[in-house]
Order: sequence, then structure tokens, then C-alpha cells
Amino acid sequence: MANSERVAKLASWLWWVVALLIYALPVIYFVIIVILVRAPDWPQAVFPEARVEVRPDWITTGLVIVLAIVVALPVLHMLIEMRSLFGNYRRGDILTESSARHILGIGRAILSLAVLKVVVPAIQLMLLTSGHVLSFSLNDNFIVFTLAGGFLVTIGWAMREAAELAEENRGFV
Amino acid sequence: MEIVVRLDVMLARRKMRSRELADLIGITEQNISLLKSGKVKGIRFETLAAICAALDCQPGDLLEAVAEASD
Repeated sequence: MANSERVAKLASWLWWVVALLIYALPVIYFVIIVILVRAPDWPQAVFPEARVEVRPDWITTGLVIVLAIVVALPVLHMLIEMRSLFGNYRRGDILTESSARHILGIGRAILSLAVLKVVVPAIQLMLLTSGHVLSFSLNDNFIVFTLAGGFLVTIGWAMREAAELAEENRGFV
Repeated sequence: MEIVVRLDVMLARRKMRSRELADLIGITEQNISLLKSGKVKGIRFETLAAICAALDCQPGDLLEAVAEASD
């Protein structure tokens, strides 16, 4: 099987998976948030650094939920970019400017996620503790997301270069 | 100065059809047509060598540099 056929076949499957996730993920995320927030001691369950007596009002709870949704936005953006990329691949548009742009978009989304995963929990904890606790944690997820995002951004730039060369080559007989 | 492709002249001299040349050198007839009309950015040395071999000619018989007409 030729490489382009293999890419088209796999991309076709992945397109469906990603298309399904685009609709399923927000619903799953919403359900998880609702289940978490309904528990009486949810601040302590989500943020072990929060003091036991923390009982957030509805405004604080709302803000914490909004921030949790903000973290999900790059994931959604990444899935949308992936769907477009796999759509291009299954049509056979591999070395094109459009595909390179989508790879770049996926990389940027993962980089944003790496940053938001550090910043947002710190802000949420600060809100829950009325500004008494500020805690940043850099874990292995941050390193993995940063490396993966940086890798994809680099690949995206390289693909853009390759797409320009391919476009130039298409003019040659 | 612009480069004009004289492939149609050589094909007529050798009494060969575009399709025949395309089959001989292994490129599509559409590309031969694009080459004849000069609607290509360039020609690979590999293609040029194959055309020269098929038509028994030199690159200079196929390509000609002409002065661009001024408006």
C-alpha cells in the first residue's frame, strides 16, 4: 500500500473519531463539572491545598467553573484543527499550505494548554481561598505538553516550507 | 528576455504526436500540452534530456530566448 493511501485510510478513521469527540467532549466535561461541584466538599476534592473550611459562594463557584471551561477551549480548538487536518489528508491534500496551518494550530493549542494548566488552577485556588493561597505546580504534564506543542509548531513551520516547495515543484514538468 | 518552448516545431519536424512523445518519455499528455503552450514555471533536466533523446535533438532546438515585446 502506498504511503498516501495509508495516510488517507488512517486519516479517514481518525476524522470520524475526532468529529465524534468534538461533540462528546464538551458534554462529558460539563457532566464532570456538574458532578464535582454538587459534592459539598468539592473545593477540597479538586484542590487539596484549599482549607477545609472553604465554602465558596455562587459567584466564586461560577468563576471557577468558567476558568475550568477556559482550559477546555484549547482542547476543543485542537480537535477542530485535527478534524480539518484529517479531512485534508483523506482528500489527499497532504503537502499543502492548509495542512501545514492546521498542524501549526494543533501545536499552538497544545502550547496554550500547557500554560493554562499551570496558570488556571493557581487562579482558581486563589479565588477559592479569597487570595490567601497561591500555588503553582509544574508537573510532568507541563513538560510533555510543552514539548509536544513545541514539536508540532516546529513541524508545522517545516511543513509550510515543504508545502511551498511542493507548490513550486508542481509548476515544473 | 523570455524563454519560448519550440516543442511543437520539433514534434512537427519529427512527425510525432504529443501522445506518442508522452508515452515515450513517461509524462502525461496534459504536461506535454502545458509545456508546448509555455504554461509551466520550468522544465526538469531529466524531462528535457528525455525529450531530446526521443526527438533526437539538442536542448537549443527546443528552447529559444527571445526579447520581450515592449508595450
